[in-house]
Formats: sequence, C-alpha cells, structure tokens
Amino acid sequence: MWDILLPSLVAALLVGWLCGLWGAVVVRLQLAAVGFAMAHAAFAGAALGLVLGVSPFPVSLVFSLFLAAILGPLTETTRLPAEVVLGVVFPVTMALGFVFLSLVPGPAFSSPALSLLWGSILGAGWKDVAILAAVLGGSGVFLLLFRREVFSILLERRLAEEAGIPTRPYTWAVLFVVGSLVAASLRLVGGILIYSLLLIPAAAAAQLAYDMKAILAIAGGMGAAAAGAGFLASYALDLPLGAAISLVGAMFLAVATLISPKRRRPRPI
Amino acid sequence: MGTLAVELKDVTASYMGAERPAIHGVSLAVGAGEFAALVGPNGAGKTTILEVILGLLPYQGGNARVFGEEVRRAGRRLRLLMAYLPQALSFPPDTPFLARDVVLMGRFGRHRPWRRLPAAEIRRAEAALEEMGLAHKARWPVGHLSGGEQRRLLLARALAKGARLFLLDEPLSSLDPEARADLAGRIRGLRARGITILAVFHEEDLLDEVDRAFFVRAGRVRGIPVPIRDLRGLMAGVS
Repeated sequence: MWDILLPSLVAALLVGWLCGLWGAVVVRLQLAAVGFAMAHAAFAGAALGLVLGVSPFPVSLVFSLFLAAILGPLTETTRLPAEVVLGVVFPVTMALGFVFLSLVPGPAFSSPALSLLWGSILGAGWKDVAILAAVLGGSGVFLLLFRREVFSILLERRLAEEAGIPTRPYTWAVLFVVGSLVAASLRLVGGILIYSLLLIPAAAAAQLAYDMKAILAIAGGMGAAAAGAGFLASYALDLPLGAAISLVGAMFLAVATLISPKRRRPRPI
Repeated sequence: MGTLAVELKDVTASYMGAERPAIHGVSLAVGAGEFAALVGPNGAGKTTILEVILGLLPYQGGNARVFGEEVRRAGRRLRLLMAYLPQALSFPPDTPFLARDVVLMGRFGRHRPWRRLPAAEIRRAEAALEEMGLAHKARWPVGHLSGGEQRRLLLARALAKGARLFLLDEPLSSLDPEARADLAGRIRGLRARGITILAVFHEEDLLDEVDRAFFVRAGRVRGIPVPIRDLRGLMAGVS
C-alpha cells in the first residue's frame, strides 16, 4: 500500500513546502490574488490540455503565465482597480475551464477533469514528484542567488529601483515561479488548496518572525508540515484530503497567532 | 554656478494613462554641492520632478541630465549616485526586515547578485548607522523605529550608499518638533560633505540652508530661480 501512498505523501510535502515558501514572497508582494487568478487560469489551461489530449502541465503553465502577463497591461488599459480586473478574470477563466471540460471526450466531468478542480494527490506518481522537486529546486536556487534583489523589492519597490535594481524582471521571475508551482501542483491538490497553501503558512510565519529569511524558512516548513500532517490525518480519519490539509494549516495559523511574540503585552515596569 | 549636478531643460513627463502631463516644459539647474528647494502647492508636480531626475518616470520631451549624463541613457548607473527619500514613506510594524538590512540594501545594486557581500559593506552600513545615531537599533525590525528614526535610517542608507545627490521628498513632514529639529540638523550636516541636496518641503526649518529655490505650480516651474529672500513669504502663501 505504501507503494501507492509514498509518492503521494512526498508530493504533498513538496507542494506544501513550495507553496509555503513562495506564498511568503507572494503575500509580501501583495500578489496573493494574482496567485489565485493564476490557479484558475491554470485550471482552464489544464482543461484545454485534456481536450487536446496532451499533458495538462505545459498548457496550464502557459495559461497561468499568460494571465500574469496580461494582468498589468489590462489594469492600466482599463484603468480599473486590480481587484476589479481580478474579479472579472476569475469567473472568465473558470468559465473557460468548464467550457473546455465539457468538450473533453468521454463522460462529461470525468474523474481526471474534476481532479483539476479539487485535486487528486492519491493519483500522484514519481513523475509528479520529480516535476515538483525540479520546480522546488529551481526556484530555491533562484531565490538563493537573487535573494538580495528579491528582498530589496519585498522591502519597497521605489527604494529597490533607487538602489539600481531593475524591479520588473525580478517581479516577472517571481510570477514565473508562481505560475510554475501552480501548474505543477494543480492536478494534485486543486486550485482552491493551492490558494490556501500559499496564504496560510505565510500568514502563520509572519506571526512568528520579524526577519524575511526566517519567515521564508518557517513558511516553507509549515507548509510541508501542514500538507504532511493533513495527508496522514486524512488517511487515518478517512477525511477528504484537501479539507484535512486546509484545516491543519488553519490550526497552525491559530497556534502561531496565539504564541506570536508580536501579540505579547508589554510587561509593567 | 560651477559643475551642474542636475539640469532639466524643457522637460515634459506624464504618468501612464493620464490625460495631461504631470510636468510641462520644466527647466531648472542645481550646482554640485548646492542645497536646492522645490516649493509649491500639493499636486503641483514637485514629486514628479524628483521621479524624473531619479529615472523612475520616463520623460517624453526635453532633456534631463544628472552630473552631465542623460538620465534616459544612464538611468540605472546614475541611480547609484543618487539617494531618494520618498514622500510619506513609513515602514509598518510588520515589515520583515531589520534596520541594518535596510541600510545594506542601498548598496545591493553595486554587486553581482550571486557574489557574497564583502565585509566592508557591513562595516560601511554600521558606520552610517552610528553617524545617524541608530547603531543601538541596528538589529531592530525597521517597523519598530519611530517616524523620525525611520527617516534617519533612510539618511544612513543614503550615506552608506555613497550617494552624491540626495533627493528628499518632504523629509520633515509629520514629525514632532523635536524629531523635526533633529532631522533638519542632520540634513544640514550633509552639506559639509559636499553632497548636493534637492528637497521638497513646506516647513521653515531648512530655509536658511537653501541656495536656490524653484517654485512649482500646475506642473510648471515659474520664475527660475525664486529669490531666497522671497521664499519665506512664498511658502507661507502656499501653506
């Protein structure tokens, strides 16, 4: 049985680590909503992949990156607030996804099609693990090499530009990483859980540390721990996997908030 | 005027999507080592002028030069010679960086990304923190510093950066009188180092330091430059 469960567990740990780590960056850049929209664009892309009978991963990657590419110009051209543009983009990508799913040969909304929405981590194989490990490794090396530039942008964009750092290509690189992690994780955990794994560990880590390096380490570890513990809880208690991971993550956040040094009252003198 | 630190000739610049240019036909010049002031009502275009000089906002017409080089061509390289204190910049309490990191970041653009930061850079940052009276708060989260301390921290960053031109956008605004006087004193102290300063301000604390002033109204610079003796009355009229 562990022949089946082990790759799924490893995949869950990697997704949790990846989303936790980059969630901390995305939240600090105020791009969490963009991550959510990218997850649904990836859903539409993966559905198109099913229609065309090709691997969903590259198509969902192209869709999520295309969305990231058009969001800025769309906001500037329409002169609408980013949240309104995202509010329009989200249902449109969902609608596209459902239209593509209805065109998938065979029974409508078959199991592989629905797994794009809710994920099916138990179907993960070592190939999925390898893709996730490659995204985690590649993005980790990027962060290690360009940490000074990324951190400068996370502090304040104008100050980063003032320091001579070109903020646009680095922001693009971050979006590319988020697009890649969304595309690699979508079929395994679904769009909604990706969003939860991007946000919850980042929020919990921000309760516990004042330093970005520590926040990245804690968020990555907490994402992996939530995914691993959720996976085991789901197996032991026969709970839906995505729900179990989200609830464990929410528990971590609640504990982090309770023990946060940022909430400590000053001692009376 | 000797060597020019800043020279704008007939510069016009617009923000993306705006119907009208934010500044139109602006010309001004600031000599190296001078203290120049941009005064005028809110929304007149003072911050836009600083952003054009820094190369953050592209200009569509005219020419902008810093230390003799065209901003459009050498923007990123020129930025290494400039320091910017943005208007109303305040780091909230949950900003996940320490004070010393903020100072160090001013030098990041000088180093290749993957190379280890030399130890001399850390000593330089610590010396700048010491000079601004913040050495004891070097390892504090930046958002835990007071408003005045955060401005001093940005001055420390500018010093550590080795900038020759400081662009200060309302550096004294929203500070209590004590912090304002302290910061004004430290800005005065910069002049002894030969640093050129172009500042936007509405307060009188730095008026005696001003060598040259430009009055900005509706995106244009009028009367180049404003006689210093008229400046106090002009600023009182604006406020």
